Amino acid sequence: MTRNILIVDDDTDLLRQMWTALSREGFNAVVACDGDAGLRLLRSRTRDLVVTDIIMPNREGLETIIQIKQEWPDTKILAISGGMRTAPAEFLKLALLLGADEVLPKPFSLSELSMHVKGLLRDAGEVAQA
Amino acid sequence: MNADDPLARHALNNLLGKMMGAAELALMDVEAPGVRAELELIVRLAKEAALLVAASATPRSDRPGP
Repeated sequence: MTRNILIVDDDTDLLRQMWTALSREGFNAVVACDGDAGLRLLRSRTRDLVVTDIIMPNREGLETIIQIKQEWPDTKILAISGGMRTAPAEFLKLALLLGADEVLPKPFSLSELSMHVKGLLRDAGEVAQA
Repeated sequence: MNADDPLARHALNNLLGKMMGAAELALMDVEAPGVRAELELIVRLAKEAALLVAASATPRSDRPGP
């Protein structure tokens, strides 16, 4: 079964790279450039997993994570961040507190991203089968 | 560039991540061993540079000497 993934990041180069890598792994991936656009896509079709950046225009990632967990509690969330004025770890700790299932600090390799995505979806599949 | 500046580190991390990604995506399509070796080197060097950027975030007193 093809798993559906939403990727949210305002960096269009990175967005394209993540989309390409995950699509090549066989996932059905769609992209959004901020939290608002991501939530609109989720409302049109739920996803198994959301990869979201934290610092973005319009609706930023932490707020997006809260909203996703309220509306789609079963959707897995992988938060990614390079931080800004603070270390990425600080944003990512907050993301975990707010409902992200896993975090990945930038910079990361696409193989690391793929490994995290597969791990989260495997866990979700095991829970669904239990 | 001041490596102690968090905004500069953020910008560097973004660049390194995309360099790594570009090389990894190219590796998916390239079979020539020589080209693959260079692309793999780019990935490895970008990872090493990311470690240096992370180390620059460590307070000077905590950094390994000299």
